[in-house]
Amino acid sequence: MIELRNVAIAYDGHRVVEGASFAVPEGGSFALVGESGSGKSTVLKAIAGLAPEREGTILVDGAPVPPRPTLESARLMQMVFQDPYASLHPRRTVDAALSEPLAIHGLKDRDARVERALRDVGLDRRFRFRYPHQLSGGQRQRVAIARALMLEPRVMLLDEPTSALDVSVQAEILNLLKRLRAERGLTYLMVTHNLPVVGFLCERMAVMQGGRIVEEAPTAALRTGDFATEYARHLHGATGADLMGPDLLEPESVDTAPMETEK
Amino acid sequence: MSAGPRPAPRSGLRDWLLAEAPSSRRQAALGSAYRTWSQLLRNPLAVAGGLIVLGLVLVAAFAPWIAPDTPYGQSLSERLMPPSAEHWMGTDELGRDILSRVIWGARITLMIVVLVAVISAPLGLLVGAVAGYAGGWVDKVLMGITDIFLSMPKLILALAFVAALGPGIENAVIAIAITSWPAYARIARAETLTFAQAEFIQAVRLSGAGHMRIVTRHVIPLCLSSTIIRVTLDMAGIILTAAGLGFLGLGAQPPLPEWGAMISRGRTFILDQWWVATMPGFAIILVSLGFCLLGDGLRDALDPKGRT
Repeated sequence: MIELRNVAIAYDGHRVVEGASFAVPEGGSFALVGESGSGKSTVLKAIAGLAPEREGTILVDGAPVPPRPTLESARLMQMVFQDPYASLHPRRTVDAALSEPLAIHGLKDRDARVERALRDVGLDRRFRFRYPHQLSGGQRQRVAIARALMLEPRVMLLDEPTSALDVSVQAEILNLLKRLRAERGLTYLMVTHNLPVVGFLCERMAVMQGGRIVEEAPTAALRTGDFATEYARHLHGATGADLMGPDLLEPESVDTAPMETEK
Repeated sequence: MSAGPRPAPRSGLRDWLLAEAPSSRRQAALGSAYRTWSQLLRNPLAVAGGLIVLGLVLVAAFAPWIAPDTPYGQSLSERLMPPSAEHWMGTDELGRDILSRVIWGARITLMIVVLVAVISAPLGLLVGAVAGYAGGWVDKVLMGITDIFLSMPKLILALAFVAALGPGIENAVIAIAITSWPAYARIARAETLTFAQAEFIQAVRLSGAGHMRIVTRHVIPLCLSSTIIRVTLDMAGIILTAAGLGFLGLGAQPPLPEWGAMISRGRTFILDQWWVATMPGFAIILVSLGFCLLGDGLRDALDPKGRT
């Protein structure tokens, strides 16, 4: 579904990613892990068409990704951003944020679609006409996920979707993402530095260091610590993945939003 | 007891406006407007400014009914009369009632202010938002033009335009509008730069939105409040520039009762008949002050960080 062949990405002529190659099958879930500054978010942006200076081949659903987002690419893939406080327009209600993609694509039946999207991400209807500042971080991230799903894409690019959230809320959002993927057969490409999250949500992972992919491995390696490169073993040890373990997040725990009104 | 039930529907309306979970688009928008409004009402100076501006609007709207005389009614036997019970602000050199002229002049002032705001604010907003959003050479070209306009003194530039276009109130409006948009462009660009790369803009781009849609629907609304504040604060300057042009004989032409032109006519008698120049001067000061106070209040009320 997603295929990168020898991709290089630059910002203002300065190379930040080089020789990146990996493939994610349809319905698969792939993680890019690495320290901050390793170029993992840049790869995600390039796939989304938000990083113009790139070389190499990026194929999504068999077709090369356009240099900037188009209507077709919007229907194929969407992105959930890291910071739910920055990814929602401060002066637009939840309703406006969710209706916007429908308006851009001229889709009818907006009321029903918005209501269904809210239900799908476990948000009560009464959140519909609130402004972002009236929502908690977890609720905002649910809105961001709902917005990404409005056009019913097949690929979801997740840029550290839980790193800005409290631990308890993280589990809710991860369970929500897991359920949505199971229900809709979505393909996930996730960027994170949190290895337990990788173990919970993904099947394969690539480890990035200094703009290069140093190792690709199944996430089962997180349980055993069975990595080929020194750096991946170091990262595995440093984040304490072996101590916490991917079992920390129970799939059956609730994934509906807390109903109290938070400011 | 009869007063008891009365506040109930009012607080019901208030609750409806301040609802945590609005049930419609309109309720959410009205609730947001209500919060701004109540924030504004908490500031006594802003209320005073608002009342002055409201007074200007009412006086301009009802000038024919408020004014004791027509602005052009000459009476040479009553020329240069000091303020009295009959002529509250005295009369000018042609025996015209100054109070009536000041009241009718409110229309001209209001027209100038509104026209300048309507022309220059959207222009500046669009130029600034496009420059900040597009970046690169678009930004350089647009801001270069803005800087050229900004580097010239406002009144001098307006003078040059009026001199080229010919004196008259319409040309004065055009000249002032041409000289005042660069300030709004600067503000809008600075504001846009702070969020041009923000994730919510990228999210809209990812939805397939075109540049035009992003600028008009997502960027400009965020620049709007700072522009409204700046325009309101600039109103005083616009009035003074218009009055200045009128004073120099390049704005409103006689016998139009424009305040600046009236001061200009009164200049000749300023030592012996002070009221001829002073009364329209008071009007200019009062209205300028009103806009300034209102602008300051709006700055506090429209700042989203000031609200929860």
